[in-house]
Amino acid sequence: MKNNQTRNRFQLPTSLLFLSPWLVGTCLLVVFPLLVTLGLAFWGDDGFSMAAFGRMAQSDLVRISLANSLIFVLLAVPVRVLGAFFLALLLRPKKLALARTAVFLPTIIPPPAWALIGLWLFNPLFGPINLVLQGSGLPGVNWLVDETATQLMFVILAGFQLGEGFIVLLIGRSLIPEHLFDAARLDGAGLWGRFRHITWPLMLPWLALLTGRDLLVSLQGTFTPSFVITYGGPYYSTTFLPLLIYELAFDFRDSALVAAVLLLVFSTLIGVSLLLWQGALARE
Amino acid sequence: MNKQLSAGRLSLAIFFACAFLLPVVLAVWGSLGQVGDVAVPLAGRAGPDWQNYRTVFQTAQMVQLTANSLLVVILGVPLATFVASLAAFAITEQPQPTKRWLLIFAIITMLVPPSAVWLVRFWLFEQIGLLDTLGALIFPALAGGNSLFVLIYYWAWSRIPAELFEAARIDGAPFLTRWWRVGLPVVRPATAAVVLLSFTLFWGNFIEPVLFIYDPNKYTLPIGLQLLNQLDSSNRPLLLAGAVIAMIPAVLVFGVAQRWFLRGEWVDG
Repeated sequence: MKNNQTRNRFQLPTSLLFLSPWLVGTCLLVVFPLLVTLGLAFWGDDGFSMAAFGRMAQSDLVRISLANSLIFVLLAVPVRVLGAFFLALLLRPKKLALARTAVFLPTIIPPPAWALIGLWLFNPLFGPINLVLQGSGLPGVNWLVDETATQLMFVILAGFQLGEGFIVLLIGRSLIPEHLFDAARLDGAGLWGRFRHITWPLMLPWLALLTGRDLLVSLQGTFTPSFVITYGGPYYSTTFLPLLIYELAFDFRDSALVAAVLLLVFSTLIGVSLLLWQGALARE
Repeated sequence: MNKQLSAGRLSLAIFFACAFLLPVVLAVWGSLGQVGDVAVPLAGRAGPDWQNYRTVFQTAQMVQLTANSLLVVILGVPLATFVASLAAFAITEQPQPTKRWLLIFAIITMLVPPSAVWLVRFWLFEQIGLLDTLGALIFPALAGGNSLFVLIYYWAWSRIPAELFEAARIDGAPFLTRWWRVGLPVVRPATAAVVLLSFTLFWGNFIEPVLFIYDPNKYTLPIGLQLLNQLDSSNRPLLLAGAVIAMIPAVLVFGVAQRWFLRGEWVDG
Protein backbone atom coordinates (compact mmCIF):
# COMPACT_ATOMS: atom_id res chain seq x y z
CA MET A 1 0.00 0.00 0.00
CA LYS A 2 2.75 2.40 0.96
CA ASN A 3 4.66 1.38 -2.11
CA ASN A 4 1.57 2.08 -4.20
CA GLN A 5 1.20 5.56 -2.75
CA THR A 6 4.76 6.55 -3.53
CA ARG A 7 4.31 5.33 -7.06
CA ASN A 8 1.16 7.37 -7.48
CA ARG A 9 2.82 10.48 -6.19
CA PHE A 10 5.74 9.88 -8.46
CA GLN A 11 3.41 9.50 -11.43
CA LEU A 12 1.23 12.48 -10.81
CA PRO A 13 3.23 14.98 -12.92
CA THR A 14 3.47 12.79 -16.04
CA SER A 15 -0.20 11.86 -16.02
CA LEU A 16 -1.13 15.50 -15.48
CA LEU A 17 0.90 16.30 -18.56
CA PHE A 18 -1.31 13.99 -20.61
CA LEU A 19 -4.44 15.34 -19.02
CA SER A 20 -3.51 18.90 -19.80
CA PRO A 21 -4.63 19.26 -23.44
CA TRP A 22 -8.17 18.32 -22.47
CA LEU A 23 -8.07 20.17 -19.14
CA VAL A 24 -6.53 23.38 -20.48
CA GLY A 25 -8.48 23.26 -23.73
CA THR A 26 -11.79 22.76 -21.93
CA CYS A 27 -11.00 25.57 -19.50
CA LEU A 28 -10.14 27.87 -22.40
CA LEU A 29 -13.00 26.94 -24.73
CA VAL A 30 -15.77 26.04 -22.27
CA VAL A 31 -15.21 27.15 -18.68
CA PHE A 32 -13.69 30.57 -19.42
CA PRO A 33 -16.36 31.51 -22.03
CA LEU A 34 -19.09 30.28 -19.71
CA LEU A 35 -17.85 32.32 -16.76
CA VAL A 36 -17.33 35.46 -18.83
CA THR A 37 -20.76 35.10 -20.41
CA LEU A 38 -22.45 34.59 -17.07
CA GLY A 39 -20.54 37.55 -15.67
CA LEU A 40 -21.82 39.78 -18.48
CA ALA A 41 -25.31 39.37 -17.02
CA PHE A 42 -24.27 41.71 -14.21
CA TRP A 43 -22.53 44.24 -16.44
CA GLY A 44 -24.40 47.43 -17.29
CA ASP A 45 -23.31 50.74 -18.80
CA ASP A 46 -21.64 51.80 -15.60
CA GLY A 47 -20.41 48.73 -13.77
CA PHE A 48 -22.48 46.29 -11.76
CA SER A 49 -26.12 46.19 -12.75
CA MET A 50 -29.06 43.84 -12.50
CA ALA A 51 -30.90 45.62 -15.31
CA ALA A 52 -30.58 42.66 -17.70
CA PHE A 53 -32.71 40.50 -15.41
CA GLY A 54 -35.43 43.15 -15.42
CA ARG A 55 -35.34 43.26 -19.23
CA MET A 56 -35.46 39.48 -19.31
CA ALA A 57 -38.54 39.38 -17.08
CA GLN A 58 -40.32 41.91 -19.28
CA SER A 59 -39.35 40.55 -22.69
CA ASP A 60 -42.19 38.75 -24.47
CA LEU A 61 -39.71 37.12 -26.83
CA VAL A 62 -37.79 35.59 -23.95
CA ARG A 63 -40.99 34.41 -22.29
CA ILE A 64 -42.28 32.82 -25.51
CA SER A 65 -39.02 31.05 -26.27
CA LEU A 66 -38.71 29.79 -22.70
CA ALA A 67 -42.24 28.39 -22.91
CA ASN A 68 -41.54 26.81 -26.32
CA SER A 69 -38.31 25.29 -25.06
CA LEU A 70 -39.99 23.92 -21.96
CA ILE A 71 -42.76 22.26 -23.98
CA PHE A 72 -40.17 20.91 -26.40
CA VAL A 73 -37.91 19.31 -23.77
CA LEU A 74 -40.86 17.93 -21.82
CA LEU A 75 -41.92 16.05 -24.96
CA ALA A 76 -38.59 15.31 -26.65
CA VAL A 77 -36.35 14.33 -23.73
CA PRO A 78 -38.52 11.49 -22.35
CA VAL A 79 -39.04 10.16 -25.88
CA ARG A 80 -35.33 10.28 -26.66
CA VAL A 81 -34.00 8.95 -23.35
CA LEU A 82 -36.59 6.21 -22.82
CA GLY A 83 -36.53 5.39 -26.53
CA ALA A 84 -32.75 5.03 -26.48
CA PHE A 85 -33.01 2.91 -23.31
CA PHE A 86 -35.64 0.62 -24.79
CA LEU A 87 -33.71 0.22 -28.05
CA ALA A 88 -30.40 -0.35 -26.26
CA LEU A 89 -31.96 -3.21 -24.28
CA LEU A 90 -33.87 -4.58 -27.25
CA LEU A 91 -30.97 -4.53 -29.70
CA ARG A 92 -28.24 -5.85 -27.39
CA PRO A 93 -28.03 -9.36 -28.89
CA LYS A 94 -25.01 -9.58 -31.13
CA LYS A 95 -26.97 -10.83 -34.12
CA LEU A 96 -28.99 -7.61 -34.31
CA ALA A 97 -26.05 -5.57 -35.70
CA LEU A 98 -28.05 -4.45 -38.73
CA ALA A 99 -30.90 -3.15 -36.60
CA ARG A 100 -28.40 -1.23 -34.43
CA THR A 101 -26.95 0.30 -37.58
CA ALA A 102 -30.41 1.33 -38.76
CA VAL A 103 -31.26 2.96 -35.43
CA PHE A 104 -28.04 4.98 -35.47
CA LEU A 105 -28.38 6.08 -39.09
CA PRO A 106 -30.59 9.19 -38.63
CA THR A 107 -28.19 10.46 -35.94
CA ILE A 108 -25.18 10.62 -38.26
CA ILE A 109 -27.01 12.68 -40.87
CA PRO A 110 -25.64 16.25 -40.62
CA PRO A 111 -28.23 18.53 -38.99
CA PRO A 112 -28.89 20.78 -42.01
CA ALA A 113 -29.37 17.69 -44.20
CA TRP A 114 -31.75 16.23 -41.64
CA ALA A 115 -33.62 19.56 -41.51
CA LEU A 116 -34.02 19.62 -45.30
CA ILE A 117 -35.19 16.00 -45.31
CA GLY A 118 -37.68 16.88 -42.56
CA LEU A 119 -38.89 19.94 -44.46
CA TRP A 120 -39.71 17.70 -47.42
CA LEU A 121 -41.20 14.79 -45.43
CA PHE A 122 -43.53 17.12 -43.53
CA ASN A 123 -44.48 19.42 -46.40
CA PRO A 124 -48.26 19.86 -45.99
CA LEU A 125 -48.99 19.91 -49.73
CA PHE A 126 -46.81 17.24 -51.30
CA GLY A 127 -44.75 15.71 -48.45
CA PRO A 128 -44.88 11.90 -48.09
CA ILE A 129 -46.33 12.07 -44.57
CA ASN A 130 -49.42 14.02 -45.50
CA LEU A 131 -49.87 12.04 -48.71
CA VAL A 132 -49.89 8.83 -46.67
CA LEU A 133 -52.26 10.35 -44.10
CA GLN A 134 -54.64 11.50 -46.82
CA GLY A 135 -54.24 8.27 -48.75
CA SER A 136 -55.48 6.35 -45.73
CA GLY A 137 -58.51 8.61 -45.37
CA LEU A 138 -57.17 10.72 -42.50
CA PRO A 139 -57.10 14.51 -42.61
CA GLY A 140 -53.70 15.98 -43.44
CA VAL A 141 -51.86 17.99 -40.80
CA ASN A 142 -50.84 21.60 -41.40
CA TRP A 143 -47.17 21.06 -40.55
CA LEU A 144 -45.11 24.27 -40.86
CA VAL A 145 -48.31 26.35 -40.81
CA ASP A 146 -50.04 25.34 -37.61
CA GLU A 147 -48.03 26.24 -34.51
CA THR A 148 -48.65 23.10 -32.43
CA ALA A 149 -48.13 20.82 -35.44
CA THR A 150 -44.81 22.50 -36.22
CA GLN A 151 -43.59 22.06 -32.65
CA LEU A 152 -44.64 18.42 -32.82
CA MET A 153 -42.67 18.11 -36.06
CA PHE A 154 -39.56 19.31 -34.21
CA VAL A 155 -40.13 16.68 -31.52
CA ILE A 156 -40.48 13.92 -34.12
CA LEU A 157 -37.33 15.05 -35.96
CA ALA A 158 -35.44 15.05 -32.63
CA GLY A 159 -36.89 11.67 -31.67
CA PHE A 160 -35.16 9.96 -34.58
CA GLN A 161 -31.74 11.32 -33.62
CA LEU A 162 -31.28 9.43 -30.36
CA GLY A 163 -28.04 7.66 -31.36
CA GLU A 164 -25.78 9.28 -28.77
CA GLY A 165 -27.97 8.14 -25.88
CA PHE A 166 -28.28 4.73 -27.54
CA ILE A 167 -24.48 4.29 -27.48
CA VAL A 168 -24.08 5.61 -23.93
CA LEU A 169 -26.79 3.25 -22.65
CA LEU A 170 -25.30 0.29 -24.53
CA ILE A 171 -22.05 0.98 -22.64
CA GLY A 172 -23.92 1.45 -19.37
CA ARG A 173 -25.81 -1.80 -19.75
CA SER A 174 -22.60 -3.69 -20.53
CA LEU A 175 -21.12 -2.54 -17.22
CA ILE A 176 -23.71 -4.54 -15.25
CA PRO A 177 -22.02 -7.82 -14.31
CA GLU A 178 -23.70 -10.75 -16.09
CA HIS A 179 -23.56 -12.92 -12.95
CA LEU A 180 -26.29 -10.79 -11.38
CA PHE A 181 -28.63 -11.84 -14.16
CA ASP A 182 -27.52 -15.46 -13.98
CA ALA A 183 -28.23 -15.51 -10.23
CA ALA A 184 -31.67 -13.96 -10.79
CA ARG A 185 -32.41 -16.52 -13.49
CA LEU A 186 -31.55 -19.32 -11.08
CA ASP A 187 -33.95 -17.78 -8.57
CA GLY A 188 -36.63 -18.02 -11.23
CA ALA A 189 -36.90 -14.31 -12.06
CA GLY A 190 -38.56 -13.64 -15.42
CA LEU A 191 -37.72 -10.95 -17.96
CA TRP A 192 -39.77 -8.34 -16.08
CA GLY A 193 -38.38 -9.35 -12.69
CA ARG A 194 -34.79 -9.09 -13.91
CA PHE A 195 -35.52 -5.68 -15.43
CA ARG A 196 -37.35 -4.43 -12.33
CA HIS A 197 -34.76 -5.55 -9.81
CA ILE A 198 -31.44 -5.40 -11.69
CA THR A 199 -31.45 -3.43 -14.93
CA TRP A 200 -33.67 -0.52 -13.83
CA PRO A 201 -32.02 0.29 -10.48
CA LEU A 202 -28.49 -0.13 -11.83
CA MET A 203 -29.19 1.92 -14.94
CA LEU A 204 -30.92 4.78 -13.09
CA PRO A 205 -27.75 6.86 -12.60
CA TRP A 206 -27.03 6.49 -16.34
CA LEU A 207 -30.55 7.55 -17.22
CA ALA A 208 -30.26 10.52 -14.84
CA LEU A 209 -26.99 11.64 -16.41
CA LEU A 210 -28.30 11.15 -19.90
CA THR A 211 -31.50 13.08 -19.11
CA GLY A 212 -29.41 16.00 -17.87
CA ARG A 213 -27.30 15.95 -21.02
CA ASP A 214 -30.27 15.44 -23.29
CA LEU A 215 -32.04 18.53 -21.94
CA LEU A 216 -29.09 20.33 -23.47
CA VAL A 217 -28.48 18.25 -26.60
CA SER A 218 -32.09 18.06 -27.75
CA LEU A 219 -32.65 21.76 -27.19
CA GLN A 220 -29.41 22.67 -28.95
CA GLY A 221 -30.51 20.40 -31.79
CA THR A 222 -33.47 22.69 -32.49
CA PHE A 223 -31.09 25.43 -33.67
CA THR A 224 -30.40 24.08 -37.14
CA PRO A 225 -34.00 23.25 -38.17
CA SER A 226 -35.33 26.47 -36.71
CA PHE A 227 -32.53 28.45 -38.41
CA VAL A 228 -32.72 26.67 -41.78
CA ILE A 229 -36.38 25.78 -42.29
CA THR A 230 -38.69 27.82 -40.08
CA TYR A 231 -36.60 30.74 -38.84
CA GLY A 232 -38.51 30.68 -35.58
CA GLY A 233 -41.97 30.71 -37.12
CA PRO A 234 -44.86 30.32 -37.59
CA TYR A 235 -45.70 33.04 -35.05
CA TYR A 236 -42.53 32.41 -33.01
CA SER A 237 -43.68 28.84 -32.29
CA THR A 238 -40.21 27.43 -33.10
CA THR A 239 -38.20 30.23 -31.52
CA PHE A 240 -36.39 28.01 -29.04
CA LEU A 241 -33.62 29.19 -26.73
CA PRO A 242 -30.60 28.59 -29.01
CA LEU A 243 -32.16 30.63 -31.84
CA LEU A 244 -33.17 33.36 -29.39
CA ILE A 245 -29.64 33.51 -28.01
CA TYR A 246 -28.20 33.66 -31.53
CA GLU A 247 -30.49 36.57 -32.42
CA LEU A 248 -29.90 38.43 -29.17
CA ALA A 249 -26.15 37.97 -29.41
CA PHE A 250 -25.43 38.53 -33.09
CA ASP A 251 -28.38 40.57 -34.38
CA PHE A 252 -29.39 42.66 -31.36
CA ARG A 253 -25.87 42.64 -29.80
CA ASP A 254 -27.49 42.55 -26.35
CA SER A 255 -24.86 40.49 -24.54
CA ALA A 256 -26.17 41.29 -21.06
CA LEU A 257 -29.60 39.90 -21.91
CA VAL A 258 -27.99 36.84 -23.55
CA ALA A 259 -26.00 36.30 -20.38
CA ALA A 260 -29.06 36.65 -18.15
CA VAL A 261 -30.98 34.07 -20.21
CA LEU A 262 -28.00 31.69 -20.20
CA LEU A 263 -27.55 32.07 -16.47
CA LEU A 264 -31.16 31.00 -16.01
CA VAL A 265 -30.80 28.08 -18.44
CA PHE A 266 -27.47 26.78 -17.16
CA SER A 267 -28.45 26.96 -13.50
CA THR A 268 -31.70 25.13 -14.33
CA LEU A 269 -29.73 22.46 -16.20
CA ILE A 270 -27.24 21.91 -13.39
CA GLY A 271 -30.04 21.98 -10.79
CA VAL A 272 -32.19 19.46 -12.63
CA SER A 273 -29.17 17.21 -13.29
CA LEU A 274 -28.19 17.28 -9.61
CA LEU A 275 -31.76 16.47 -8.53
CA LEU A 276 -31.99 13.59 -11.01
CA TRP A 277 -28.59 12.30 -9.95
CA GLN A 278 -29.52 12.49 -6.24
CA GLY A 279 -32.82 10.77 -6.96
CA ALA A 280 -31.11 8.01 -8.90
CA LEU A 281 -28.52 7.39 -6.18
CA ALA A 282 -31.16 7.47 -3.44
CA ARG A 283 -33.10 4.72 -5.23
CA GLU A 284 -30.00 2.61 -5.45
CA MET B 1 -22.23 -18.39 -26.99
CA ASN B 2 -24.94 -18.50 -29.55
CA LYS B 3 -28.17 -17.42 -27.98
CA GLN B 4 -31.47 -17.90 -29.70
CA LEU B 5 -33.47 -14.77 -30.43
CA SER B 6 -37.11 -14.88 -29.44
CA ALA B 7 -39.64 -14.23 -32.21
CA GLY B 8 -41.02 -11.23 -30.33
CA ARG B 9 -37.63 -9.58 -29.99
CA LEU B 10 -36.77 -10.25 -33.59
CA SER B 11 -40.00 -8.77 -34.94
CA LEU B 12 -39.69 -5.70 -32.71
CA ALA B 13 -36.09 -5.25 -33.89
CA ILE B 14 -37.16 -5.47 -37.51
CA PHE B 15 -40.01 -3.01 -36.90
CA PHE B 16 -37.73 -0.38 -35.34
CA ALA B 17 -34.99 -0.91 -37.90
CA CYS B 18 -37.51 -0.22 -40.66
CA ALA B 19 -38.92 2.80 -38.83
CA PHE B 20 -35.46 4.40 -38.51
CA LEU B 21 -34.48 3.50 -42.08
CA LEU B 22 -37.66 4.90 -43.59
CA PRO B 23 -36.80 8.64 -43.61
CA VAL B 24 -33.37 7.89 -45.05
CA VAL B 25 -34.74 5.66 -47.80
CA LEU B 26 -37.44 8.21 -48.64
CA ALA B 27 -34.82 10.96 -48.88
CA VAL B 28 -32.73 8.94 -51.33
CA TRP B 29 -35.86 8.20 -53.35
CA GLY B 30 -36.89 11.84 -53.37
CA SER B 31 -33.44 12.95 -54.51
CA LEU B 32 -33.75 10.85 -57.66
CA GLY B 33 -36.93 12.56 -58.83
CA GLN B 34 -37.66 15.76 -60.67
CA VAL B 35 -39.23 19.04 -59.57
CA GLY B 36 -42.98 18.58 -59.19
CA ASP B 37 -42.84 14.80 -58.80
CA VAL B 38 -45.38 13.35 -56.44
CA ALA B 39 -43.27 12.38 -53.50
CA VAL B 40 -44.46 8.97 -52.49
CA PRO B 41 -43.05 5.76 -53.93
CA LEU B 42 -46.57 4.90 -55.09
CA ALA B 43 -46.24 7.22 -58.06
CA GLY B 44 -44.95 5.87 -61.35
CA ARG B 45 -41.61 7.20 -62.44
CA ALA B 46 -39.50 6.90 -65.58
CA GLY B 47 -36.44 5.81 -63.62
CA PRO B 48 -33.83 7.30 -61.36
CA ASP B 49 -32.72 10.73 -62.43
CA TRP B 50 -29.09 11.40 -61.43
CA GLN B 51 -29.17 14.93 -62.82
CA ASN B 52 -29.75 16.43 -59.34
CA TYR B 53 -26.42 15.09 -58.12
CA ARG B 54 -24.59 16.64 -61.05
CA THR B 55 -26.39 19.93 -60.48
CA VAL B 56 -25.45 20.04 -56.80
CA PHE B 57 -21.78 19.87 -57.65
CA GLN B 58 -22.09 22.51 -60.35
CA THR B 59 -23.73 24.90 -57.87
CA ALA B 60 -22.14 27.17 -55.29
CA GLN B 61 -18.62 25.68 -55.20
CA MET B 62 -19.92 22.52 -53.60
CA VAL B 63 -16.69 20.68 -54.46
CA GLN B 64 -14.68 23.26 -52.54
CA LEU B 65 -17.08 23.10 -49.58
CA THR B 66 -16.92 19.31 -49.47
CA ALA B 67 -13.11 19.49 -49.51
CA ASN B 68 -13.19 21.96 -46.60
CA SER B 69 -15.49 19.70 -44.60
CA LEU B 70 -13.25 16.72 -45.29
CA LEU B 71 -10.20 18.66 -44.10
CA VAL B 72 -11.98 19.55 -40.87
CA VAL B 73 -12.87 15.93 -40.07
CA ILE B 74 -9.50 14.50 -41.20
CA LEU B 75 -7.72 16.76 -38.74
CA GLY B 76 -10.42 17.12 -36.10
CA VAL B 77 -11.60 13.56 -35.51
CA PRO B 78 -8.20 11.87 -34.89
CA LEU B 79 -7.05 14.81 -32.78
CA ALA B 80 -10.19 14.81 -30.62
CA THR B 81 -10.02 11.02 -30.16
CA PHE B 82 -6.34 11.20 -29.27
CA VAL B 83 -6.76 13.98 -26.70
CA ALA B 84 -9.89 12.43 -25.16
CA SER B 85 -8.37 8.97 -24.79
CA LEU B 86 -5.09 10.26 -23.31
CA ALA B 87 -7.02 12.35 -20.79
CA ALA B 88 -9.33 9.50 -19.85
CA PHE B 89 -6.42 7.08 -19.42
CA ALA B 90 -4.68 9.59 -17.17
CA ILE B 91 -7.89 9.95 -15.14
CA THR B 92 -8.16 6.19 -14.59
CA GLU B 93 -4.63 6.26 -13.14
CA GLN B 94 -5.26 9.10 -10.69
CA PRO B 95 -5.59 8.41 -6.95
CA GLN B 96 -9.09 8.79 -5.57
CA PRO B 97 -9.86 12.40 -4.63
CA THR B 98 -8.24 13.73 -7.82
CA LYS B 99 -10.09 11.20 -9.92
CA ARG B 100 -13.49 12.16 -8.50
CA TRP B 101 -12.88 15.89 -9.07
CA LEU B 102 -11.79 15.30 -12.65
CA LEU B 103 -14.93 13.28 -13.33
CA ILE B 104 -17.12 15.99 -11.81
CA PHE B 105 -15.31 18.53 -14.00
CA ALA B 106 -15.98 16.37 -17.07
CA ILE B 107 -19.67 15.99 -16.23
CA ILE B 108 -20.20 19.70 -15.58
CA THR B 109 -18.39 20.79 -18.74
CA MET B 110 -20.43 18.23 -20.67
CA LEU B 111 -23.54 20.09 -19.49
CA VAL B 112 -22.51 23.57 -20.67
CA PRO B 113 -24.86 24.74 -23.44
CA PRO B 114 -22.90 25.43 -26.65
CA SER B 115 -24.81 28.69 -26.99
CA ALA B 116 -23.17 29.85 -23.74
CA VAL B 117 -19.72 29.86 -25.33
CA TRP B 118 -20.48 31.45 -28.72
CA LEU B 119 -19.85 35.07 -27.80
CA VAL B 120 -16.56 34.55 -25.98
CA ARG B 121 -15.23 32.03 -28.51
CA PHE B 122 -15.92 34.60 -31.20
CA TRP B 123 -13.82 37.13 -29.30
CA LEU B 124 -11.15 34.53 -28.50
CA PHE B 125 -10.79 33.37 -32.10
CA GLU B 126 -10.57 37.00 -33.20
CA GLN B 127 -7.70 37.57 -30.74
CA ILE B 128 -5.67 34.56 -31.86
CA GLY B 129 -6.38 35.07 -35.55
CA LEU B 130 -8.52 31.98 -36.07
CA LEU B 131 -11.65 33.89 -37.04
CA ASP B 132 -12.64 33.20 -40.65
CA THR B 133 -10.31 30.21 -40.92
CA LEU B 134 -11.03 26.48 -40.80
CA GLY B 135 -8.84 26.50 -37.69
CA ALA B 136 -11.78 27.89 -35.73
CA LEU B 137 -13.69 24.69 -36.53
CA ILE B 138 -10.77 22.33 -35.78
CA PHE B 139 -9.51 24.07 -32.65
CA PRO B 140 -12.06 22.45 -30.25
CA ALA B 141 -10.49 19.07 -31.12
CA LEU B 142 -7.44 20.16 -29.11
CA ALA B 143 -9.76 20.08 -26.09
CA GLY B 144 -10.92 16.56 -26.93
CA GLY B 145 -14.02 17.75 -28.79
CA ASN B 146 -16.41 17.24 -25.90
CA SER B 147 -16.02 16.02 -22.34
CA LEU B 148 -18.52 13.26 -23.14
CA PHE B 149 -15.79 11.56 -25.20
CA VAL B 150 -13.46 11.54 -22.19
CA LEU B 151 -16.24 10.01 -20.10
CA ILE B 152 -16.94 7.31 -22.70
CA TYR B 153 -13.28 6.25 -22.59
CA TYR B 154 -13.27 6.43 -18.80
CA TRP B 155 -16.35 4.19 -18.54
CA ALA B 156 -14.86 1.72 -20.98
CA TRP B 157 -11.64 1.45 -18.97
CA SER B 158 -13.48 1.25 -15.67
CA ARG B 159 -14.85 -2.17 -16.64
CA ILE B 160 -11.35 -3.59 -17.21
CA PRO B 161 -9.77 -5.20 -14.11
CA ALA B 162 -7.25 -2.76 -12.62
CA GLU B 163 -4.62 -5.52 -12.33
CA LEU B 164 -4.06 -5.34 -16.07
CA PHE B 165 -2.75 -1.78 -15.90
CA GLU B 166 -1.13 -2.33 -12.51
CA ALA B 167 1.04 -5.09 -14.00
CA ALA B 168 2.23 -2.86 -16.80
CA ARG B 169 2.98 -0.10 -14.34
CA ILE B 170 5.01 -2.37 -12.11
CA ASP B 171 6.97 -3.47 -15.15
CA GLY B 172 7.95 0.18 -15.46
CA ALA B 173 6.28 0.80 -18.81
CA PRO B 174 6.03 4.56 -19.41
CA PHE B 175 2.62 6.23 -19.60
CA LEU B 176 2.40 6.45 -23.38
CA THR B 177 3.36 2.78 -23.77
CA ARG B 178 0.75 1.72 -21.23
CA TRP B 179 -1.87 3.82 -23.00
CA TRP B 180 -1.02 2.55 -26.49
CA ARG B 181 -0.11 -1.09 -25.79
CA VAL B 182 -2.29 -1.99 -22.81
CA GLY B 183 -5.07 0.59 -22.60
CA LEU B 184 -6.25 1.23 -26.16
CA PRO B 185 -6.41 -2.38 -27.40
CA VAL B 186 -8.94 -3.35 -24.73
CA VAL B 187 -11.33 -0.47 -25.44
CA ARG B 188 -11.68 -0.59 -29.22
CA PRO B 189 -15.48 -0.22 -28.99
CA ALA B 190 -14.95 3.06 -27.10
CA THR B 191 -12.53 4.29 -29.76
CA ALA B 192 -15.05 3.42 -32.45
CA ALA B 193 -17.84 5.20 -30.54
CA VAL B 194 -15.74 8.31 -29.98
CA VAL B 195 -14.58 8.39 -33.61
CA LEU B 196 -18.18 8.10 -34.69
CA LEU B 197 -19.60 10.71 -32.31
CA SER B 198 -16.78 13.17 -32.98
CA PHE B 199 -17.19 12.62 -36.71
CA THR B 200 -20.89 13.42 -36.30
CA LEU B 201 -19.93 16.54 -34.35
CA PHE B 202 -17.33 17.88 -36.81
CA TRP B 203 -18.97 16.80 -40.06
CA GLY B 204 -22.40 18.11 -39.15
CA ASN B 205 -21.19 21.26 -37.44
CA PHE B 206 -23.51 23.98 -38.70
CA ILE B 207 -23.61 26.68 -36.04
CA GLU B 208 -19.90 27.34 -35.76
CA PRO B 209 -19.22 27.94 -39.44
CA VAL B 210 -22.27 30.24 -39.46
CA LEU B 211 -20.71 32.19 -36.60
CA PHE B 212 -17.02 32.11 -37.42
CA ILE B 213 -16.60 31.78 -41.21
CA TYR B 214 -17.34 34.59 -43.69
CA ASP B 215 -15.17 33.81 -46.70
CA PRO B 216 -17.33 31.73 -49.10
CA ASN B 217 -14.22 29.75 -50.08
CA LYS B 218 -13.95 28.50 -46.52
CA TYR B 219 -17.58 27.50 -46.04
CA THR B 220 -18.25 23.88 -45.17
CA LEU B 221 -20.76 21.42 -46.58
CA PRO B 222 -23.51 22.11 -44.02
CA ILE B 223 -23.40 25.79 -45.02
CA GLY B 224 -23.59 24.66 -48.64
CA LEU B 225 -26.84 22.88 -47.91
CA GLN B 226 -28.28 26.06 -46.46
CA LEU B 227 -27.08 27.98 -49.54
CA LEU B 228 -28.84 25.49 -51.81
CA ASN B 229 -31.99 26.05 -49.78
CA GLN B 230 -31.65 29.82 -50.14
CA LEU B 231 -30.93 29.63 -53.88
CA ASP B 232 -33.98 27.58 -54.77
CA SER B 233 -35.98 26.30 -51.87
CA SER B 234 -38.69 24.91 -54.14
CA ASN B 235 -36.32 22.45 -55.85
CA ARG B 236 -36.88 19.58 -53.40
CA PRO B 237 -35.06 16.85 -55.35
CA LEU B 238 -31.96 19.05 -55.58
CA LEU B 239 -32.02 19.80 -51.84
CA LEU B 240 -32.48 16.12 -51.07
CA ALA B 241 -29.57 15.24 -53.35
CA GLY B 242 -27.44 17.69 -51.37
CA ALA B 243 -28.61 16.11 -48.14
CA VAL B 244 -27.79 12.61 -49.42
CA ILE B 245 -24.32 13.74 -50.53
CA ALA B 246 -23.68 15.14 -47.04
CA MET B 247 -24.88 11.84 -45.60
CA ILE B 248 -22.64 9.50 -47.62
CA PRO B 249 -19.26 10.04 -45.86
CA ALA B 250 -21.01 9.72 -42.51
CA VAL B 251 -22.55 6.43 -43.55
CA LEU B 252 -19.16 5.14 -44.77
CA VAL B 253 -17.43 6.06 -41.50
CA PHE B 254 -20.26 4.50 -39.60
CA GLY B 255 -19.99 1.30 -41.64
CA VAL B 256 -16.35 0.93 -40.61
CA ALA B 257 -16.78 2.02 -36.98
CA GLN B 258 -19.84 -0.08 -36.22
CA ARG B 259 -17.90 -3.29 -36.92
CA TRP B 260 -16.09 -2.58 -33.70
CA PHE B 261 -18.40 -0.76 -31.43
CA LEU B 262 -21.66 -2.50 -32.15
CA ARG B 263 -20.14 -5.98 -32.14
CA GLY B 264 -17.68 -5.61 -29.31
CA GLU B 265 -18.09 -6.48 -25.69
CA TRP B 266 -20.91 -3.99 -25.25
CA VAL B 267 -23.37 -6.32 -26.83
CA ASP B 268 -24.72 -9.61 -25.68
CA GLY B 269 -22.71 -12.47 -27.18
